[in-house]
Amino acid sequence: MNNFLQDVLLNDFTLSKQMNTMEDYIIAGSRDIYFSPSVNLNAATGKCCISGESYLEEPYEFYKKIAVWFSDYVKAGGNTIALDLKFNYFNTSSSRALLEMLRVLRDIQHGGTEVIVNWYYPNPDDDEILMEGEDFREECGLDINMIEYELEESGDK
Amino acid sequence: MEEKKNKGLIDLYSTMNDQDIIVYYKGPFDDVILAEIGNKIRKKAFDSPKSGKRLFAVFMELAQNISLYSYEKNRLESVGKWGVGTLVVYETPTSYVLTSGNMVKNDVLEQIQKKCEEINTLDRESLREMKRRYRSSEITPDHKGGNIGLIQVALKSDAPLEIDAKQIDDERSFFTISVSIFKEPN
Repeated sequence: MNNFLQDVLLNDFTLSKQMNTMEDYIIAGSRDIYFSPSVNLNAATGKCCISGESYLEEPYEFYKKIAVWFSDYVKAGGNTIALDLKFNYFNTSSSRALLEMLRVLRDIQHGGTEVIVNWYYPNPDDDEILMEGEDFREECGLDINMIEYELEESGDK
Repeated sequence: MEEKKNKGLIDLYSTMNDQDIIVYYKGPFDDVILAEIGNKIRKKAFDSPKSGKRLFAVFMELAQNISLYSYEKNRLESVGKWGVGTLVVYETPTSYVLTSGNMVKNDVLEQIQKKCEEINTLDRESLREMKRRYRSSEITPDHKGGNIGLIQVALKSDAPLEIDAKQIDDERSFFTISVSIFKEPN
């Protein structure tokens, strides 16, 4: 078992105290020295979204926290996770951590929880986001849905 | 000590005089510098969206490689955290060219050269396969990089990776990699 999964599972320990007190997990996206995606994990509905750009000082920690939330959510009784992923840039360090997060979701699915993952790619797809989504799908073992959206014109990407 | 401090710089400037330089930098590749140069390159995305974005993605991977893995660190910094290296980005009417260089240990150089040579023999689908294979291997918290940066660079560029190296001494070599990205026709 790799370290990422191990860290997520070790978190079991603290969970018993938190039962039924799952909270939403929200991070506002930012672009400063590093780029953080927006994260919105809804504890009431299981509807989750990660979007924007991902170039992080500690990508491993960032996505591990999200994976831990998923794991806690299921243990607290949540039975469906619907995750929308809508990236327009991520570096390779982030992609590696993202893959680990998706593998945690796959394990959660194997445990009997309904897991839906939607991967959004823009039209036009200048950054080849669809290709990245397909690569994740092949690697993580989840049946990720590929969904195209129209890219709105904006001053800044 | 008698030599003028600016002599080398004049020579260097002259050799680059006939290129349209977007960025030229040598020094520590710290996070603030990466952000500054990254923003500068990103603005190019306005001129030619697709190639501009590719240029940005390539820059980020090569610059992070220097940050994390350059064998040379800034000696005067109290915490020798950031790798030192150099980077030139210039444009021609038809393409962007990005070249980076940094010190590597000789035994590491051989691995990088082998990896680049393998990358250059692969078509797009095989590169994706190689990326998936590397990405799926063991992750450790202390290894910050994805180990797939060079593969991603090859996926984003339009020509084989051009690599070169010059041995400095028994321990170190100076390694350069050059990447071309074609601009889309107007």
